[in-house]
Amino acid sequence: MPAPSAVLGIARDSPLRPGRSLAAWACASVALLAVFFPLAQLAMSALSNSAESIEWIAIWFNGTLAAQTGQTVVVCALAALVTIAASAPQAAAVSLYRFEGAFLVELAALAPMLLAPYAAAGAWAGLDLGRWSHGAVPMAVQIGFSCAPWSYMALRVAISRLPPSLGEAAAASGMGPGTRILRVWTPLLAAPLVGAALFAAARAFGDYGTAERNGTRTFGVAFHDMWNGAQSAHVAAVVALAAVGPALVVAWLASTRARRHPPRQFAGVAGGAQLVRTKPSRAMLLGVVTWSALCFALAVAAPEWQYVVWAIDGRWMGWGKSLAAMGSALATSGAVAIALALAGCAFSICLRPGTKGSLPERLPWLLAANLFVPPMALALAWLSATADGSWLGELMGSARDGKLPLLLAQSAKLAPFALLPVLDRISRENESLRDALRAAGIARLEVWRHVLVMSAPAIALGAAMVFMEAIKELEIAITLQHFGYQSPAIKIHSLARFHSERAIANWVLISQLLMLPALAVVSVWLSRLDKARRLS
Amino acid sequence: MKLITTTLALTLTAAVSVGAYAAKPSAKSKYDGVEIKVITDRTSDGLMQPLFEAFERDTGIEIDAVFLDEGLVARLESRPKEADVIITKDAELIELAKRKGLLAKLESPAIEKSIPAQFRDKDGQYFVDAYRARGIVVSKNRVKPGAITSYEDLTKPEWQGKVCSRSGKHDYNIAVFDQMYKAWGEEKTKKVISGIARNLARAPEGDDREQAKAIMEGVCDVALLNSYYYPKMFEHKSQTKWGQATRYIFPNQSDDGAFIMRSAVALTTSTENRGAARMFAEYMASEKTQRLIVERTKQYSVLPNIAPHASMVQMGADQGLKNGRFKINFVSLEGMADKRPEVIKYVEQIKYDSGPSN
Repeated sequence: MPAPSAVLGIARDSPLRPGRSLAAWACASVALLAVFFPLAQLAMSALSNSAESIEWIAIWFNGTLAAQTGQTVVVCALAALVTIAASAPQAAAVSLYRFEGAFLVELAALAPMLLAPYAAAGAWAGLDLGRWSHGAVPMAVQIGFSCAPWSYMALRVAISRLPPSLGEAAAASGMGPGTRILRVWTPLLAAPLVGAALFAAARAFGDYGTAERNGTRTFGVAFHDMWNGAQSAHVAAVVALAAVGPALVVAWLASTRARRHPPRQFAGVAGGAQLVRTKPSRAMLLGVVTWSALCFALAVAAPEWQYVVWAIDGRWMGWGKSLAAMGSALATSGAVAIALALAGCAFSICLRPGTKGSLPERLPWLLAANLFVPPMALALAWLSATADGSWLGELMGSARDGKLPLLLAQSAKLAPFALLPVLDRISRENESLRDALRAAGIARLEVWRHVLVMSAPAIALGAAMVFMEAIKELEIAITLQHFGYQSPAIKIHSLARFHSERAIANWVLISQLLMLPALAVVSVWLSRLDKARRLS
Repeated sequence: MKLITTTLALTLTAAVSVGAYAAKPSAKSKYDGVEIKVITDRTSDGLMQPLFEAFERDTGIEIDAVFLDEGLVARLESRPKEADVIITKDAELIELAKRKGLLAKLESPAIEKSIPAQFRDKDGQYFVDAYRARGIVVSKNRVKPGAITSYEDLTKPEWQGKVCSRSGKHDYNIAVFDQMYKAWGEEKTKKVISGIARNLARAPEGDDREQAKAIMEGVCDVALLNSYYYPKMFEHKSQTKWGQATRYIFPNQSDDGAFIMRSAVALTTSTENRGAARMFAEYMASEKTQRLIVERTKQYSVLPNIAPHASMVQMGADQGLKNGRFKINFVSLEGMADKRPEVIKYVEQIKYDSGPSN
């Protein structure tokens, strides 16, 4: 076997093989399809009756658009703030310091994943605290808390890639805690902070279920009302497309940032150094634990307590009814998670690692745009794409009348959760490793196996997140559900019409039961971060 | 002897076979075992599931349903023959579906006989299975009896900042505004809609019952509310106080009557199970089902001989109404649907949903 340095030298000089380029473009094309196919459907729908579309745009611009925009901006900004506030201190404390109860702080930070924001909204409304539990601010808080776990994870990952001694060095140079946060940590963590804020804003922007329960007229509700009022797919398409342009620009800019500075594992790991985290001061520990407990109480404990009280007070609906819905939700969410995990495997193998990647490696980041399009608009697009007489509908055959449209639409919407961790993983891989292995005579299948083993944690994390999101997914399921379909999310939504909180409580608890194993996967994945850093 | 034994044995076997055949349960209908598909924007809890189960028990026809809370017409446009039967809580949608060519004729003498003509489509493509008043709910403490008796009263300056409403683009409000437009004409309707918008206490939000809750909380004094929500509030421990804080008013009873919301039933253009689907539609029109609808939903039956729900008999008594019956300002669904685009555009134009600052 040739020396490693020689192998790497050969690999760096080797030109890009056309096969790999083709495979990378194939992956990029699938990602682009997931973004642009529904958008094209909406555009076609809007253009098919352009006179009506233009008239409605004019009415909307002169009507409630300004007020909706104002309310949406407020809710998005507040949700982003809450997301960062409810995650950054906990992520920093757990990543940088060693203390008893760090695991509990981490669990408390992840727990809001178990509660869909529309379910939290129901619980808060039931607490009857007037404007404190119902309206634009509570909606922003509910969305913010529901996005905080993702922000926590992103920050934990980002901090794990920075040398822990950085803070000590800054302190040694005379910087106070505030200056260190402003001048050292914030610039270094700008990408995950901005990403988390955008994620929360995107959620608040397109959400319908939570906004409706809070009586907040954000963009998601505006879209629904225009669609419902006009009963016209053209009008709905026009309104939805208004959201798409900015979303694409944001997603493209995010991809620039993510790929220009692919964060590397810090040098300590390569050297095998045993790094030691310090214990936090008593004041800091007290502050973090209090803050964590407060966030947990507001995001999880209070609404959860309310649902448990309702469930005890109410009547158990019986296993027959609940098992059918559980099976249906498990099958659908599981299928979406598996499909996207397979896509993650394909992306891991086909896309070029490290900074060598060009357009095909960058284009999949546009998937993030799907987070900004109102989910009901996505559902409408897939509904028309699979209509009677459409080529896709014909292609699907009898499967069109089953789960397939729902699976496709949910997969397109949830793809960012599954694939962005994989894209991030690929961007951090040594760009010459695969070529080096091949140059060393290792069979292609064996190289792929090696790559998949390296990507497996990111793929598993993505699948777990997708599973939980699919269980909670509401807007697409409402529109694209097939005959006989049931899910806890739909039950919660439809029972909310009757204000039947006691019945809703059953379904909230069932959905949480379904999500628990996936939450465990996320928790295990995070615990691996510290092992990878060899921190004690 | 052998012949006798053989004959006896054969006779016995035949008798047992015939007996066994006769003992088999007879088919409940000629469509026994057929499965029909029902698409509805109503929820499974409440009326629909018990209704489906009763129909399956009585006819042997199975029902596979999808409960589409949103986008019913869009789904029908996309997949016109996916279902056999459509049931909607807002009959105006079924009229819109008819205009898009998504319905088939019912062709049922039973329905024509039992359902009064005003609740049947003139072209025989759908019928109304039940209705409720789009009435007014007021604060018991802050609104004197007789101070509000009509929709027009909601526009009076004395109620400025005291009216609550759900979205102006919600089906229930569109339906009542459409009926105003058709019954009263453009000028008066615009005056009433803009008058209500001017008097709003807050930006429209929530559902009907949440308007009653807002009255209890003192946010406003008056709101529009479908009649069946009023007794339903007293069924829930947490909502009883909303009902107790309010009084229900059937509007315009000394005038041309209250407008109504209707639910409706139709057949799609799918012909695969047309017979069984028609049987289901007839079942919806039957007295037995109409009683179930009244019992479960507290709507008014379209059959004149079926009394309102016991919990609604006293509603309107303080207005001099008897037996829970009220005067309807009847506007045909065709007439309403004609006005829908103009109404929505007007609601958007005056920024109804932006609230009182406009």
